[in-house]
Amino acid sequence: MTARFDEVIHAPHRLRICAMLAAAEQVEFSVLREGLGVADSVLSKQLKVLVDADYVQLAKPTGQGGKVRTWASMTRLGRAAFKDHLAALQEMVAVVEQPTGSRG
Amino acid sequence: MENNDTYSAHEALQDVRQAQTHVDDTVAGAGSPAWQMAACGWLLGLTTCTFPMEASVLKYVILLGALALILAISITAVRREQAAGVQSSMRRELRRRPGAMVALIALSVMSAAAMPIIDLTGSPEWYAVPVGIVQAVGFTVLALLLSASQRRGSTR
Repeated sequence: MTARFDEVIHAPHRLRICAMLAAAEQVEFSVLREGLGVADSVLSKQLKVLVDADYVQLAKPTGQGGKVRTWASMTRLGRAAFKDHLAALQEMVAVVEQPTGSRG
Repeated sequence: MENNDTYSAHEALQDVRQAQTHVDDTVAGAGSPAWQMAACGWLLGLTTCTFPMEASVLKYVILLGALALILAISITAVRREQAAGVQSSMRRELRRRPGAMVALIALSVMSAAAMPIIDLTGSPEWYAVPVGIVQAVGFTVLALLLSASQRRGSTR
């Protein structure tokens, strides 16, 4: 795993979307919306950025009663990018938390 | 517009933890298929151990009943996850919990080993070991197949 800061992922909403998707195989649109506490349009916009970056893919299967539900999942590329981004964040926190004396 | 300048790495990591906890709670509330399968495997082993009886229709009914229960609980777990809006993958769940993977395999092997197949089939005693292994592998493959079909179903 290599630490690599990713501007596409780092935006607060997108980071939380990626965190939720990384913890499961697929997450439904309404669960993401509730988790983020945002409007449909805001979530759609953020998902589009992630889809365009090939980090997330959307599926719209017809559920029970013919109701269409949108499911989001992370691509392999997205999972790798998210993992690298987390490593970069952890490195930053580690640097900040280092004792003053050890910085030279 | 989001302000990335004021979004520190520390805050970001906290957000990540909170978001993942939210998903983990939802998955746990719905019931992970992997744990359901492990529980059913143990149930199957227990059923087999506590009823060491001669081959009979009742014996077949008990064993088939236990197998039907495994499938029913697994399918229920998948449907509950779909209704909850979060689908976990058994493969991913097991990868995140190596102990659960070991437990599932161990339970499968124990269930298979405890099953008095010889009485059912009338096969020679040496046949019990390969049958037990086939059952253990089959049980695990079944769990993975259910997980895969769950994903396929939702992306159709």
